[in-house]
Amino acid sequence: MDEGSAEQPEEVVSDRELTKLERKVAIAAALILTAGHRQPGVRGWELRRRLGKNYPKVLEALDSRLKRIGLRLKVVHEDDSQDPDRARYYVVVAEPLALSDLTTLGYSIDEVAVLAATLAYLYASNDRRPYKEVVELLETKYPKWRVESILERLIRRGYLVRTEDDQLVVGWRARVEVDKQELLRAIASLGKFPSGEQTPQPEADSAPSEDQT
Amino acid sequence: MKGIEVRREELMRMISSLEAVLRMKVEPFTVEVRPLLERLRRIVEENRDAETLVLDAEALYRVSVVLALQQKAIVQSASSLFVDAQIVASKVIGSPPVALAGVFLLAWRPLVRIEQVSNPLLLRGYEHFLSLPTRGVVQPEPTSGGAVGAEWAVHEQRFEEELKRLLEELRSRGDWVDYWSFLSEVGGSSRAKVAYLLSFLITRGDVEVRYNPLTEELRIRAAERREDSGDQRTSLVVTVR
Repeated sequence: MDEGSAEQPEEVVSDRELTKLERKVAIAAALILTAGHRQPGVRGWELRRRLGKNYPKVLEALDSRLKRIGLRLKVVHEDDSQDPDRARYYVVVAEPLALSDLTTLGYSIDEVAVLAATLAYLYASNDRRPYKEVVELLETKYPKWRVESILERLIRRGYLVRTEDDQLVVGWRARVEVDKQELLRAIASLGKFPSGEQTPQPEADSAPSEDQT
Repeated sequence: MKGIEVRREELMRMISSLEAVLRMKVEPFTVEVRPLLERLRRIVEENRDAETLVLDAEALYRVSVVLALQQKAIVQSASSLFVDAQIVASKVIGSPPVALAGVFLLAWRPLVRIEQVSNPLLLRGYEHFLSLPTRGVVQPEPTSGGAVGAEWAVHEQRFEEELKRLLEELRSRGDWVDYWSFLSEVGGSSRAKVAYLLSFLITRGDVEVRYNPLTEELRIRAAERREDSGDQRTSLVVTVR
């Protein structure tokens, strides 16, 4: 009896704590997913202000919930400091997409091919290269007008930045969405695969789709 | 004596060539640091006069900057897995666009973002819209300035009464009360109005606020009655963190 009465308040407190955490997770999700700035994502200090100093724990809980539905939390440090307050937090897709998903997302294969080539080229050159030089490289695949229109679209979407001194630089969105080392590794391994399997297939990890045939 | 001059000239040549590397942003690995440092050591061991030491220190500083650039270049190359731009260019030229798109998908995790307006947000926006003064509409000429003034006075008096009533209510609670509970209990369906009135009382200093950042509790209480004598007003500095 005594034990029961002694345990009950403890249980009530932990339930309350749990509800509080759930509420904070919901707030964190809302803040990160619906940020109304031109650039999405939320800074650590903004989360601290809203969720309290234990916000990294709330984000951990949010991440584990996101993983259940194929998403995950991404932390991008904008400078050399690893200070979580100065980092920016985003939600990204957890697993690679299939080629067939591209059209559903509103991208064409040509657009993604240009983005892949440009980003790999920039990553291998300290994240910047003259615009003219990039266009010349891409002209080996597409006519100039097509290259320029795709680059223009990618700049508008935030993947690339064209500077005043006519350099092409990696944009904020590429920093968030693209794994630099994974891309370079995959590009470097192009052509090393036996015939009939020229590229590593992202579909392999995902559910079977029509593209795998 | 002539030997000293020669060494000083050598030091100055070193400094200017290192400076050129730094300024022209030449590949930092063109500088061979080890023989340079050995030469600097020999010069210092042979001449220990002040001018040589100063020149030596200056050369050493520039060598350290070149070393820092070399380190940065190594970190950047390592982060790009030592994949050269030429290698990337050759791979791009030799692969069909579908293959390029395929490898990109391995490294691409698109951003998820919701662009949606929620009902509470719309409601807040609507409230704000209503609170805005009407502009661009020609106001009819008041029949008499006194009538408008009297109307305002009535409004103000009513507002003051509401403030007074709210303050009395808070005073009747005695000690510190939770801000949000107070809003819910007193405000009912018009919590926003009570919060608005409270903000006036807080600004005037009639209500004290205490915030606990650890528990995130916000508590309020009615301030002690004060005699408002204009000539005894003082100012104080409040640190806002």
